[in-house]
Amino acid sequence: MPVRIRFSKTDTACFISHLDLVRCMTRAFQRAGISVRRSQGYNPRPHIVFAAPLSLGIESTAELMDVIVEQDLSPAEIMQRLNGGLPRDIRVSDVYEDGMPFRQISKARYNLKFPEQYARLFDSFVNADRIMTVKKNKHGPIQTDIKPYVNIERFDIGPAGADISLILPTGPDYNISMRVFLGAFFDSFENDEQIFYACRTDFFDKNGKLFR
Amino acid sequence: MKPQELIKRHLNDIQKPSRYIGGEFGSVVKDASAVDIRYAFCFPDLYDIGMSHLGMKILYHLLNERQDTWCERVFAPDTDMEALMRRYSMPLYGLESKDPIRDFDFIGFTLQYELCYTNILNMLDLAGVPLLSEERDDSYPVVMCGGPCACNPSALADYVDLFFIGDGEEYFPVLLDLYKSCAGKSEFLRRASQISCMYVPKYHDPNKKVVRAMVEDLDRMYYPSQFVVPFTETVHDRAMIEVMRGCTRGCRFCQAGMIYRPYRQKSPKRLLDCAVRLCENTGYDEISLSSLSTSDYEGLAELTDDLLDYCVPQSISISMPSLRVDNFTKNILDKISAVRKSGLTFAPEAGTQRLRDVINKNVTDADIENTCRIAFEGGASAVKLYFMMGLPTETDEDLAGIVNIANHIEDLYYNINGPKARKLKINISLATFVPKPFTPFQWEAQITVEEAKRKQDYLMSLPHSANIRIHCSDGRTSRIEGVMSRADKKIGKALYEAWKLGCKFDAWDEHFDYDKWVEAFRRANICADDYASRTRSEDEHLPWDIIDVGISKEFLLRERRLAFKAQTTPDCRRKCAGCGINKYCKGDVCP
Ligand code: SF4
Ligand code: SF4
Repeated sequence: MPVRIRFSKTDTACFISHLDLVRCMTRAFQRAGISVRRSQGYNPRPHIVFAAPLSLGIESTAELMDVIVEQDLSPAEIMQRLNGGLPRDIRVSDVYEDGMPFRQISKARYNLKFPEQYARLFDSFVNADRIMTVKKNKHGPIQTDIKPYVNIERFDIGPAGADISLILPTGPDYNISMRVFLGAFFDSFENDEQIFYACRTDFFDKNGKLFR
Repeated sequence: MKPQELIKRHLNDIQKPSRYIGGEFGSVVKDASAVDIRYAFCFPDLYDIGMSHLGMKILYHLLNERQDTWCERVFAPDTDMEALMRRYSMPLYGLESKDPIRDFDFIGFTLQYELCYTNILNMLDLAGVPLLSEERDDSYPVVMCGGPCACNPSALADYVDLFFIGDGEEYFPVLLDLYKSCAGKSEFLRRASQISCMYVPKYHDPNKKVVRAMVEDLDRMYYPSQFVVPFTETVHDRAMIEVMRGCTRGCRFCQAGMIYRPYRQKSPKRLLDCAVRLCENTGYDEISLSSLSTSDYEGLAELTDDLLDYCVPQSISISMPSLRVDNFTKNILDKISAVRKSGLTFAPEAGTQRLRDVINKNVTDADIENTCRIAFEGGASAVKLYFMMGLPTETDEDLAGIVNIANHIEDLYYNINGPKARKLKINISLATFVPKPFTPFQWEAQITVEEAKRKQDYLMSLPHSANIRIHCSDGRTSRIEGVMSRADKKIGKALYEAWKLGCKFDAWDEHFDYDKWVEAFRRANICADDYASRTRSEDEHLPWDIIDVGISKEFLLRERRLAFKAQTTPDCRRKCAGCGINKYCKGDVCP
């Protein structure tokens, strides 16, 4: 039975790299006693497909992965068992059978928070004519203006600092990772530490429909 | 600030951050206000090394089984993380609670190798705790050490309040109960010094020896059914069961073979039970049968048969880290490669029969050949062989013997598989012999750095094919290890100077700085030769004579004399050599 699993990755779990997450999930299924269809090959491992990798340091309440469960288990049972096999800061919040195809993912929403001293700086950063990011590939660094792709939905400044909701392109067609975006912001002024909170909260398809 | 926050602020500057944040599956979180004892279990090396260590896993879960105790893990932060912690004045913390360990009741280090001693000082300093025992009043935690190197506690005696000698399973609970019944640290230490296996430098009675704790029936001892499963890959990232403790072989250079006597095996039934529970609870796809010499385990056939019935359907592979060349069989090979093929490692230790007789490594050329034949016929195209250099009575001929063995193995491979076979890889790893306390060689001089270099150059100059890779350990590292192994209390000062000069992670080539050590010895007025490369007289008082590990000095002397006559001593299973341990604890084969 193919199922989609929605899970969160918060607090300490935001430091788990994608590779480590794959290993962690593999073991979690084993611990949960859930048998998952394996990949073919010399060293068969459970075949797990993730929606979109999450950068290090970013939390999430919206991660998605697909597996084929080879037992007769209800979604509620899968969720309960898997949570028993997962570390504290990774929690399954939903399991369902009728997920939309991952290739339709086109955007992700993030909640971003900065301390007060960064609020103004962030304001001018996103309101500048251009938002330049540097990506390295084999031909050397390439500069891109990502301003047209960044959509700030909400920007509140209060005594606790800035609280922002923003949308970044995500998925197979065009992808801007939160880390690249934050890197551009922290490169735009003098600092010797990066204070932020970032959490991915939703995915959307290209029509802006909530992806599930 | 919490460590998570610190790491997030400097994510680009920290390698493998998941080593510093805890939260792994299987890690134990308790309510700090609901426990009486907080124990910081410190491994004085990186997380990647410490998390591979079985002894730590056993004690971590043993302590946490107690309602009144919360044991947390602490590792040496890598230099990038240390720099940040110092910059933000963040004291060393327990991975589970992230609370500073200086507020704990115990800071306990496990001593697995001597080259981690500077890390201990560095970790105490990072914890914000004065290094010297006498500078820590009752408001500071008890700083204690255990593990194999504690059998010569001298080098660390100024820094450590209490040394625990021997197996922890029975006496650790005694220690914690005592702690709860005492009004403060001083009272606790005074009373702990009365317990047979505890060495408390401050209250030690020089007329009494500290006797190593030994558990007689391992089968009845606690074994964890859960491990902490790391996120990041560690050196040995797998389930492990300890099949036995001790070794019957009596190799004369081997400290473990002496200080873990007697030989105590667990029953296959208990082991199978532990293995299955551990695999189910951890989700690991590899289980290692751990011991000093796993192919000697009597129940091996029964255990592995049953284990495979469970493992194969689950794609769990079995590994055995310590195999002997004289009883390696096709059967063992089939079992360890039933699910996944892994590398094969053997330790002939010396290149000629004569020298192997000196060290009592009862292995013949025929054994080596036979083992390699089985491995090659089973499809292996890589073997790893461990040898030592600088053994007592060693000549260049013995060194040449190492290359002869390798050349011979190569011929064997191509004879079996034909000249067009897959390229063979023979990795030879050559360590400089370091004489260790409580071995028949504890009186010997270690070779000097210059002699080590000469021997290495000689060995490398001998013709060998490109399939044979020889890796020699750094003779300078071994020298420091040698000084620490047979240290007396004066070495404590040199240790301090070395740490002050910035020495840490001495076991790591990229961090080891010999010149700093030379300078540290100079400042502490220590002649390193006196410790490493001096032959002791047999009646000299040795710094570790304060400890009784259970084997008698007469036995060690007997073995020493036999060594110089190149006469071997039979395996304990064939004949008791009268080491004296059976006075304290009868193992499976002791009379
Ligand atoms: S076989 Fe020899 S080297 Fe190996 S553990 Fe036993 S005594 Fe030590
Ligand atoms: S008492 Fe005899 S059999 Fe027992 S460990 Fe010592 S030498 Fe071996």
